[in-house]
Amino acid sequence: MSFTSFYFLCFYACVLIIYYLIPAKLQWIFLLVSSAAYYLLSGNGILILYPVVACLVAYAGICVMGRTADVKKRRLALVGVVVLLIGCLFLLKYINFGINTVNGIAGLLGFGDIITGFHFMIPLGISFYTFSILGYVIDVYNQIAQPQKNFFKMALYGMYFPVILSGPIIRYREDGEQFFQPHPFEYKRVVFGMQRMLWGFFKTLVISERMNLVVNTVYDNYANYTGVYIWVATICYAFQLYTNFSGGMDIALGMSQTFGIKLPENFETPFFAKTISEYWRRWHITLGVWMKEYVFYPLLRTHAFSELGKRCREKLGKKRGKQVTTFIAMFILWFTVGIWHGGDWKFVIGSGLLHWFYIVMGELLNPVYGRIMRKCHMNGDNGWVNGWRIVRTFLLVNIGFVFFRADSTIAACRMLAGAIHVGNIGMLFDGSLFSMGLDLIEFTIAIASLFILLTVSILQQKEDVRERIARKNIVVRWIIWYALLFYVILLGYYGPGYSAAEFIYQGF
Amino acid sequence: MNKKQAVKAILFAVIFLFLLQSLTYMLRTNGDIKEIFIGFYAEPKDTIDVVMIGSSPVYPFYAAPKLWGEYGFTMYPLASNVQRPKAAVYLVEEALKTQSPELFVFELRMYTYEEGAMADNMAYARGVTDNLKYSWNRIRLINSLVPEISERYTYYFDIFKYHSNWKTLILPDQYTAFWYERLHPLKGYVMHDEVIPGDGADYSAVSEQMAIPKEQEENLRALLVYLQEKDLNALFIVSPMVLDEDMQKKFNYMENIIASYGYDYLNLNNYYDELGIDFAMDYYDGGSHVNASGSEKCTAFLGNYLTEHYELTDKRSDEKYSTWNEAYIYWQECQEAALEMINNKVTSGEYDTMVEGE
Repeated sequence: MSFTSFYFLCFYACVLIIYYLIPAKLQWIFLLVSSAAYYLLSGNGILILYPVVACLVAYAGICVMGRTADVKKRRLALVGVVVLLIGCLFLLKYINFGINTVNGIAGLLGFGDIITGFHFMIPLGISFYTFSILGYVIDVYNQIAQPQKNFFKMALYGMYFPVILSGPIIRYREDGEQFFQPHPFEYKRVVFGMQRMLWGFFKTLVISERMNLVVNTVYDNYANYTGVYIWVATICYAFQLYTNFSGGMDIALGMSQTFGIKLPENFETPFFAKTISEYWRRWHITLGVWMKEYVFYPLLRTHAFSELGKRCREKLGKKRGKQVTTFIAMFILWFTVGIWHGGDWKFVIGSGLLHWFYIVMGELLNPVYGRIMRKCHMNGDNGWVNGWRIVRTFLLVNIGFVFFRADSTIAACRMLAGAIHVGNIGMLFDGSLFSMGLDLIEFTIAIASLFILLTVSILQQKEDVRERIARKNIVVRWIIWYALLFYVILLGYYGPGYSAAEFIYQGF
Repeated sequence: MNKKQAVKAILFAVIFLFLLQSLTYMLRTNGDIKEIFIGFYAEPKDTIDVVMIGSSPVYPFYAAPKLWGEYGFTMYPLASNVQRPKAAVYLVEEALKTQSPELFVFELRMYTYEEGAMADNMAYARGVTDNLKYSWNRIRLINSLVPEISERYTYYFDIFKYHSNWKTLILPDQYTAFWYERLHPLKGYVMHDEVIPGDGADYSAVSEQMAIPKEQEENLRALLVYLQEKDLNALFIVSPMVLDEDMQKKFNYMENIIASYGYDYLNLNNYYDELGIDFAMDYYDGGSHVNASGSEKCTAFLGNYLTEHYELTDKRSDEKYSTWNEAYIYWQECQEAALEMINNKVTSGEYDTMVEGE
């Protein structure tokens, strides 16, 4: 049941009405029931057992941790939970990745497939709930979060329906308690939440679905396209992915806001980033934070890395030695980020290792870059320089998107090779642009919508746009909201005869 | 939520729903059928004497302006392409909301078709449901015509289907449909000047009967019971067409059923001579639907029949029917031009050709 489907809107409306009609103390129980109902209505109902069992395992783990101060027992409980949850995730999502890799190597060596792959039905949002639950268990182990004594509360935290599809990844110690607190009806909060949902629909149905047509035209027939066609399709994909993912977040966060639950932001205008590191602080923020907190820093604190760091510092000096250890830890981090997106090398490269390479190169070349800037007597904070940095970062990220969207790593490499031949730049001006899935009018709508998005994104940096609109008189603000509402209703891609793309991150 | 906030929220929602409704009306696909239904809603209350319900053998066959201009009563078709017989009861109810007709006329051709074949094509259901104003009756009609429950919401809220017509909003016909009421210049009649001859034969001597599809018989009986319960006057007709013996037997079968409920039946296929129908020039699609020439004959025959058999008072002197006078004048102009075109085609032998899919 996609967030943009009619039935989901009916479901949500019913949940919201009942949520504020029942006694506030029971609201969390109702949210749990609604979350279970959502899961059951969203496909194969039996798959609800996965998140339920995951919550049970985590609950058992934190119960043990809560009852004993014995480090060994606590560690055993932690290891047990991690092994079971990661094991389940690995088995369902990544076992075929390993098998395909082995078969691929065997193929190169002249053997056929030596292992047969598995076919599993993957439960909805497995990566998201697994990470949210794991983070909480690790926090309890580290004694920075209180163990939850009520299993059903634990289950609500693990299965809360607005975030189950595509996040954000929530952290119990920051966001958990508000799930169980009473939330009396607050008009402004509910209205603001709905307004944010509408903004999410605008991004998803109007922009993302339009971009999807251009992207599919080229990526589904990439052998027929070269040069600027590939760049246009890839840039469209960047906007498709951003508006799809962040639009889904707006709907999830807006929905939660109507329930009185504030979730962490997952995006902060990522295409305004000047460096790749900054980009990842703005794109899928909760995944980045999770990875740093539960993978990167713990990795650096391990005995093996301490030893490695010591040896590197002895041989390469303090600065270089530290860099080497960090880069190795970052490699593992980015590999994990890549594979989190899916069991395929295209994800490992496109969302992981390529970005690791960018960051490492950035670190290594930073002194050179600084020297060039000084020699050219250029101010590093100059508007033009910053503009260039933004464009450069955007283009580098787009190379990653080629891997992310292409059918396979090989297809991505072929497309990138084809993209070099930009002799067909004339296609931007001779009307060929409008043969890529969107005619002139549709393209104009897409550009106009992106302009609206850009304007709101700039305004949003200074102040919440909803607050700004709320200060206007009632006629102006109603005109604005009606205009957006009907813009989405008229120009959105939905309804019979149109097969909408699902939320892209729903598959992760 | 305080009172002020509640009022604001309700007002916002009401304005939204109103705008959404009108926007949907405007976005519904433009064409003859939409124009016919919009035209019906625009007719002043209690001014229609005869409402004709049925499928495509209605709106090109009987010219309401001629009936008015030459017989003095008003007739309006509530017809759509391949209209499923199930819709008839709901269309009667829709008509009764604003009109008190002396007579309902039902065209029977669709009763000979299997319901399943028609139900498979959503366009046939939408032809009726998506041309009605929003109402409880429309919801009931959708529930009756659309078996797939999970799909019904796209009919209840047809904006889901028609929002992609947004580019048509620049057309005057579309944006002036805001209230879904606009007089039809020919009072629901759709004129054709194409000629594709048919190969018709007279089966009026056939007296045997053949059962119509079971579901359609149920629909027919349900309609007859409904008409009896509501004490409504009705006539069941069959428009002239190229038919075969089996079709004629099915019409005979329906005649029997209709007579058993005490209602009148008129098969124009039994009166080719009286009609003066000429299959070589009166059809625009090879014998299924008539052009302006055939329509004039069918209309004249029906006009005479209705004035002879029913008490339809002549209202031509009543000023409140001025738009009907205008429609008659307009029809005469169009008819003259169409007949000239048809005659030229027949004389020259340069007939139209069937477009694939028609």
